[in-house]
Amino acid sequence: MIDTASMVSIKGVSKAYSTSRGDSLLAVQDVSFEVSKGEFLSLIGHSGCGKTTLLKIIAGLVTPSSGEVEVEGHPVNAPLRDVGIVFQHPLLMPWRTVLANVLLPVELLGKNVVEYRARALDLLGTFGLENFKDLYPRELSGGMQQRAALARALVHDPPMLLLDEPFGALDELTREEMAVELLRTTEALGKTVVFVTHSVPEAVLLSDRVLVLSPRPSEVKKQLSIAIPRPRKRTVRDDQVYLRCCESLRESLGMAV
Amino acid sequence: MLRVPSFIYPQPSRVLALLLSPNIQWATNTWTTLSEAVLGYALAVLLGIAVAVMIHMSRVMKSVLEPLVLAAQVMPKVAFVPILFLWLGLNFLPRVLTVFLVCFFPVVIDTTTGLGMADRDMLDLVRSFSSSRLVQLRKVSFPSALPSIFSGLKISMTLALLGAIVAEFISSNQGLGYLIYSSQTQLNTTLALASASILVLLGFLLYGAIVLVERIVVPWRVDRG
Repeated sequence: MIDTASMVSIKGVSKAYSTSRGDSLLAVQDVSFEVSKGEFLSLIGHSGCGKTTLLKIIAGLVTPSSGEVEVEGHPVNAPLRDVGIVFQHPLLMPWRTVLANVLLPVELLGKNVVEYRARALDLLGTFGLENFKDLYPRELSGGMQQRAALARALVHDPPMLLLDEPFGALDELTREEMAVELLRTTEALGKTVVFVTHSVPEAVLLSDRVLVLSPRPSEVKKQLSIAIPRPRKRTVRDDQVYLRCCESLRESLGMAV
Repeated sequence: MLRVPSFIYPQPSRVLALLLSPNIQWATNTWTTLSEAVLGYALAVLLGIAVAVMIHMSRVMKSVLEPLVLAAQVMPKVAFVPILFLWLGLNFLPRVLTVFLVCFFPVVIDTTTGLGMADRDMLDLVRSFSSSRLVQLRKVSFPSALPSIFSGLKISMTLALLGAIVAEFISSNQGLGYLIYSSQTQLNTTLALASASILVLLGFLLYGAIVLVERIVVPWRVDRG
C-alpha cells in the first residue's frame, strides 16, 4: 500500500504573517517532513498551532516565507489542482444542490460534467446521501454536509486528500461515525492523506504516522508510527497497541496524567 | 356639527368616485409614471451592478468610480433635476434619469458589500481549481452577493416612484406626479389623494415583483414554510 516514493516533501518551511498592528507573527517555524504515496499522515497539535497553515502551504494556497515544498517531485508555486480538500466547515455553496456541489471540481477543472455524474452519484451513495442529491445544503444535517464535502473532494479522483479538521464542527456521535467512514473510504481508495486534527483517538485510528506539532510557532516535536495492521475496524480502539499509541501522543502533547 | 371642508379632507367615497370617473385619463397618466420609474430603475440596476463589479475587481476602478458614485448620491437630486431638464429638454429622458439617480446608489453599495462578503475558504476552494478571478466572481462572489444585491434592489424599487414624481413635479404635462402638482393649484385634494392611492398600489406591485424575482433567482435562501 505505502509506496516508498514521496508524495509530499517539505523542507525547512516557515511562515510569518503580518498582523494588523504591523508586526509579524511566526505561525510555522522550520518544519520538515515527507509524506509517502498512499500514506495516511496526521498532523496533531493544539488549536492555533499552524496546522491549517501547513496544509494550505501544501495545497499551494499559502506561500511559505521560506523553505521548499514539493508535491510529486514538482515545486509548489501555485494552487494544486489535482488534490481534494476538506475544511473544518463543509463549505458547500448554499445556492447549489448537493449534487451540483459535488460536481463543482469537475466543472472548475473543465471536465465533462455529464461524464462524472455517475461517479458523483456513486460517491453520494457511498456516503448515504443518494436520496438527498437534489436538496440544498441547508436542508442537510452537519454530518451529512461534511459527507457531501468529502464526496466533492473525491469526485475528480485526486491522488491526495488534504483534510483540515474535517470533523471539528460535528457532534461527538457523528464524529465517531465519520471517522470510521473515512477509515473505510481511504483504505478502499488507497489515497495519500494529510489529516489535520486535534483528536488523539482519530489520529491513531486513521493514520500510518502521526506528527506532533508544538504550539506556535509550530515545529515537528515528535513522530509516531501507528503499527496497527490494516484493514482496521472500529473495534481496534480496544487494542493494546492503539491504547499505547494514544498514551504516547497525549504525553508528547503535554497532557497531565 | 364639525364640518371639514371637502377641499381639505374629501370623503373616501369621493376619492373612489373620481378614481372610477372617465374625466381623468388614469391609464395614460399611470402608464407615464410607471414607465419612467421602471426604465430608470432598470438602468440603475444594470449600471449599478456593473459599476459594483468593476469596483470589486479592480483597485484602479475603485479609486476612480467610488468618488463619482458618492458625489452622485450626496448631491441633493432635487437640485439637479432642473439642470437635467435644461440640458436634455422637457421630455421623457430627464425624468428617467432622475429615477436612475435616485435608485443607483443603493444598488451599487449593496452589491459592492455583497461581493466583498464571500467566504474566504470558499474562495480558496475555488482558487485551488482555477486561478481566474472571473471564475471566482462567477462561481462564488456573485452568487453569495445575491441576497445583498436583492436588498439593494428592494430599497431602490421603493425609491423609483419617488424619483418619477419629483421629476414630474418639476416639469411635466403628464403622469401621476403632474396630476398631484396641478391639483394643488386648483385646491383639488380629491385628485391628489386619488393619485396618491394609485402610487401606493403601484409601489406594492413593483416591490412585489422584485420579491417574486428574488424567490426565483435565490430559491436557496427562501424559507419553505
